[in-house]
Amino acid sequence: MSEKKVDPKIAARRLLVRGGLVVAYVFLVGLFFVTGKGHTVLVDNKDAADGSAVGINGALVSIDGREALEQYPGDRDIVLLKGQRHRVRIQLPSGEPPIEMSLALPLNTDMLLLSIPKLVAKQAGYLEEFVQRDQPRPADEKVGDNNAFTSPDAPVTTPAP
Amino acid sequence: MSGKKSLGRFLTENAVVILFLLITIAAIPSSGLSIQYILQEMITRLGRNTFLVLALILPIYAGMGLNFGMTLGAMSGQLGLILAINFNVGGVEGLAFAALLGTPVSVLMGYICGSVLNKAKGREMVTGYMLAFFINGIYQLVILYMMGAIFPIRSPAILLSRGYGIRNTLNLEGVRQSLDNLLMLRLGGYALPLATFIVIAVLCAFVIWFKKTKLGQDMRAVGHDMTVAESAGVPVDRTRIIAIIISTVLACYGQIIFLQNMGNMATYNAHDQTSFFAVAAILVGGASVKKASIPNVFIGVILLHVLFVVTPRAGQNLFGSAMIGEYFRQFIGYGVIALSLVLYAWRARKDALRAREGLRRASIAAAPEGAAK
Amino acid sequence: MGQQGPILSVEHVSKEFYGNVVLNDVCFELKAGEILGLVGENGAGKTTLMRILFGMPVIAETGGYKGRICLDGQEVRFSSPFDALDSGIGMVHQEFSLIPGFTTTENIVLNRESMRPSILNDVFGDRMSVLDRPDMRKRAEAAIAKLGVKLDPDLLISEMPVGHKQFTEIAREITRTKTRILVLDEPTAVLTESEAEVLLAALRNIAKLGIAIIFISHRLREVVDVADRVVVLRDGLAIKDLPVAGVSVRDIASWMVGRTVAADAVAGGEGREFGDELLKVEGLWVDMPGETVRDVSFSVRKGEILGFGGLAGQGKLGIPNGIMGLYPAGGSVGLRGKGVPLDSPRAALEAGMAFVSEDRRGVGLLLDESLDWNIAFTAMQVQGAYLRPILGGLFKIRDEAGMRKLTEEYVGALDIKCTSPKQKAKELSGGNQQKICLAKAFAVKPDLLFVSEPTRGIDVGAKKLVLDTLHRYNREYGTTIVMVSSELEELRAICDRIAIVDEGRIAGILPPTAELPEFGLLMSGLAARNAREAVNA
Repeated sequence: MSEKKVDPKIAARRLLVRGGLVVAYVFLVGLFFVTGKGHTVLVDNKDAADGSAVGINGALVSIDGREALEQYPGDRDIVLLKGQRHRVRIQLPSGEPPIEMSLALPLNTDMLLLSIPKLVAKQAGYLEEFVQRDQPRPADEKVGDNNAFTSPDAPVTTPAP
Repeated sequence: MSGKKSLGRFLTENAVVILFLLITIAAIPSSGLSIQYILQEMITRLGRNTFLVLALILPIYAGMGLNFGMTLGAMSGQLGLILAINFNVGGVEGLAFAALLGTPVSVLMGYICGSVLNKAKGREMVTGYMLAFFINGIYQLVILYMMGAIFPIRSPAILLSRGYGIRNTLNLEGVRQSLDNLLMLRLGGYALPLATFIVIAVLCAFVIWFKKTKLGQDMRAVGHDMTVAESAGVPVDRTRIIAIIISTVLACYGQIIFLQNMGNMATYNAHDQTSFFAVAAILVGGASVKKASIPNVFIGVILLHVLFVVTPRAGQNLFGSAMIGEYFRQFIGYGVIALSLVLYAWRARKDALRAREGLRRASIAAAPEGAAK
Repeated sequence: MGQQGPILSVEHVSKEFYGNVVLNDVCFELKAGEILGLVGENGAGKTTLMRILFGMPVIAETGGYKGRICLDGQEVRFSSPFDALDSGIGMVHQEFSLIPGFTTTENIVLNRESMRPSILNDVFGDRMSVLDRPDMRKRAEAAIAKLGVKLDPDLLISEMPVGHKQFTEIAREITRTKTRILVLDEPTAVLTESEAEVLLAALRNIAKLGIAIIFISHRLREVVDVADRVVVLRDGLAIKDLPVAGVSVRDIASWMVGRTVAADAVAGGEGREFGDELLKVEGLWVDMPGETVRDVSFSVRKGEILGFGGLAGQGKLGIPNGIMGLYPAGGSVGLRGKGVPLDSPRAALEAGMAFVSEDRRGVGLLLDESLDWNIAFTAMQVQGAYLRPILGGLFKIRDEAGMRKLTEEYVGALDIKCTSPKQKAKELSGGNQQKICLAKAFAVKPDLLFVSEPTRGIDVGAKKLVLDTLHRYNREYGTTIVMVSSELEELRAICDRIAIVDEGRIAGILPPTAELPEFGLLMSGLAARNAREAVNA
C-alpha cells in the first residue's frame, strides 16, 4: 500500500541499494570461497625421483609462522592450509640464514605436495598437485539414529588445539 | 483474597517453568555431576542451541504458533554445509559460505511454508509439522539420489561408495567449532565461545529492534486479530509469510551454528528433531503458543539442557542404567510439549470463563444499580 | 469545502436482492457538520444503504444498485470499503474492530502509525521503518481531545470498559485527515446510560469540526437529542425526512413500526384461563455471540403462549438457546418447580422441553436423512421411543413401522408436502422443513415448546400454516409455547403475552392488544431508561 507512492528518487536509490546487495552477495560468496578454500599440503622431505635433490637432515619447516616441523630424510608431514597465499620459512641445519619465500597455491586443488629438497635446491616443480589413486574409501556406515542433539557423548567442547 | 488469586494465576501461568525447575533441582544431586561441569555444559549448549530457539519467536509473535516448519530452514543450512564441505571451504569463511548459500534456499522454503500455512489458518502447527515431513522427502531425494548423479560432487570423500548420494555422517572437520574458537575466552576454568554469543546477542538485538518497526507492529496486529488487521488494511497474508521466511532463514543459520559446534552431521536426520527440541526449549522457558519473549528462550535452553545433561547420570546412579535417563529425556521432551499445549487450552478456557463472569457482573452492576441499594 | 452545498447526497437509490426490494427510491442529503439520525426497524434497509455507501463487495455481487450517490456533487461508485475510506467516509462498526491486546494509541493509529525510516528501508521497503511512538501518542491524544472525552492513551483495550472502546473507534476514524463523513451504526447499543451521554456530547464536538455524521440508532431518544435531522426508513422507503426540532420520540416510533395493521392479525388476548406456573426463569444470562442475554427473569403458565420480540442482536434468540443448553448460560431455570441444569441439552429435553431452532439447517434438521428419521430422532434419542428390544433386550433396533406411522400422522396433520416418509429432508421447501422441525418437537410430546423464528425465510402462505399449527397444538393439546420472533405481527397474532427484549433484558411485557407505538417505545430503549431513572430517583 505504502509502496505505491515511493517517489522516483527514492525508488532509484532503492534499486541501486538492492542491486548493490546482489552484487555484494555474489562477491561475498566468491570471497569466502577463495579465502576459506582449504588445501592439504604434504610437506615432503624425500629424495627427488631423478636424484637431483636429496632429503635434508633436520630441516625446520614453518608455514605462516606456525610451530616448525622438524624433518629428516623421508619424512612427509600433513599441513592443512586455508587460502592461497602462504609464507614458508625453512631453517637449514647448516646454520645459514633461513630461506623465506611466499607460496601461491592454485585455487582449484585440494591436495598438494611441497618438496622441501627441490625448494631448497631452487628447482622448478617443488609444488605439484597430489592426486590420490585408488584411495581406500571408508566403508559406508549404517543409517542409525544419530541423534546428535540429545547425545551427551557427541563431541562437544574440546576446543581444537 | 486477590493476592491469593494472583498467586494462583502466577502458578498456572508459569506451571511448566516451575515444574521443570523442581525436576531439575531434584535431579542435580543424584547425578553426582559437579557444578563446574554443569556450568561449562550450559555455556556450550547455550551457544549451540540458542540461535535455533530464537528463530521461533517471530512466528509466535505473528500468531502462527510454534513454527514446526523451521525444519525446512535447518535442511537449507545443512545443504549449505554440504556444499561448503564439498568445495572444501573451511573455517569461519566456510560457515559464512554455507550460510550465504543456504539463505536463498531457506527464503524459498520459508515462502513455500508461509503460503501453505496461509491456506491452513488456525492449524499452522500441525500443518508445519507435516510439511516438514514432506520437504524432508524432497531433501532426501536431492541428497541421496541426485547429488553425485545429477549435481556433480567434487569431493569423493563425502559420497557413498556406490558413487552417488551423500554419506550418512559427514565430518565437518573444516568448520568444526570455527565460530566458537574464533574468540574463545577462558575465564577461571570456563571456556566461553565469545563470537557465538556475540552472534546470538546481535540476533536478540535484531528481534528487539524488529518489534519496534512497522512490520513488527503489523505482525503483532495480525497475531492478535487477523480480521481487524485486515480491515485496517494490513496485508495479513504477506505479513505472515514474511514472519515464516525470517524464521526459516534464522533456523538455517541456527542449524549451521549448531552443527559447527557438534562437529559432525547426520546427513539424513540431523534436522529431524531440530524443531522438536527448539519448541520444547521455548515452552520450558515459559512461552506459550501465543506469547514468547527472549528471556523465555534463555531460561528454556538452560532448563531443558541442564535436565538433558543431568538425567542420564541420575538414571545411572539411581537405577543403574543410563538408558532410563535417555528414555526420560525423550519422554520429557514430548511430555513438555503436550503439557504446554494442554495448559494453554485450559488457560484459554479459564480466561473465557472469567470473561463470562465479567459479562454477568457487568449486567448486575449496570441494570438495577439503584434497586440494589 | 463549502458549507452551503451538501457533501453527500443519496439520489433515488434502489436495491433489490433476487427480486426482493430492500431499498426503494431513497433520497436524502447531508451537509457538513450536520448530524443525521437514520432510524428504522430491522429489515427496513439501513444496513443495505450503508453497504451501498461503503462499496461493500456484496452489493456488486448481487447486481449493484440503482440511483446515484454523490460526494460534493460528483457521482461516486466505490468498489471496496478502502475506496470509501480514501474518499473520506469513516465507519464505526456495531461490533468493535479493535485489537484487544493493543493500547488505545496503537488502535487509534492502527496501520497509520507514525514512522521514521530506518536503514533497512532501502532493502526491504517502507515496512522496516521504526515506529515513532511519541508522535503516535501525540496524534492519539489530539484525537481524544477533539472528541472531548477522557481516555488513557496507554490502556489496553481488553482492560477498558465498553464505552471507552467505542470512543477509541471513533477517535480512530477522526484521525484520518480526510474523514468528512462519519457513519455510526448503533454506537450506543453496548453503552451504559452515562457513557451514551458522553458519546453524544463527543458527536456534537465532532460535528462542530465540520464532519457530517450519520447516526443509526434504535434508541430514539438519543436520535432526538443529538440529530439535526431524522430520516425514517420503513420497508425500504424513506418515509420521513425532516428536521428533528418539534418531533417527539413517540412520533418517530409510530412512523418506524406503523405499517398498515391487518385487523384480523390480533387474535390473542381473549382472556383465557391458564394453569399453574410451568416455567420459572430467574437471572438468566447467556453467552451467545451476537445475542447476549444479560439478566432475564420471567415465568410461563401452563397452556400459555408467551412471545419474545425485540430487535436483532438484543438477546431474544439467546433465551431459548440458553435454556436448552446450546450456549453457555447461567441463572436458574425451574420447570414445574424442579430445577433444570443449564449447559445440558439432554437434561433440558428429558425435563420435557423441546426446541425448534432458528437455525433449521444447522441445528434443526438432519438434512441428508429421511423425514421419518428426522421426526423420530429426538424422541428416539431422549425417550427411547421407536426402539424395539431384541435378543432379550441385549440390543435395540429401530421400530421402522412405528416411525413410519408417526411420520404419516404428522405429514397429514401438518399438511407436509413430500413424496414419501423416506424423502430426504434437504429436498423439501423451507416451509415444509419448518413443519418437519415442528413435527420433530411435537413427537417428543413436550410440556413446553420453544419456537425460535418459526417463519424466517418461508413464504407467506407457509407462514400462516406454521402459525396455525402452533395455535392448534396449543388449543387442542394444551402445549405451552414460548415463541421468539422478530416479526411483531406474528407474535401479536398468536401470543397471550409479548415480552420485548432490549439489551439483553426484558424491557417490558405487553398484551398483544397493546398499541404499536408502545412496542416501538420498548424496542427503542426508552422504556428501560425511564424505568432506570425511576428506580434511581
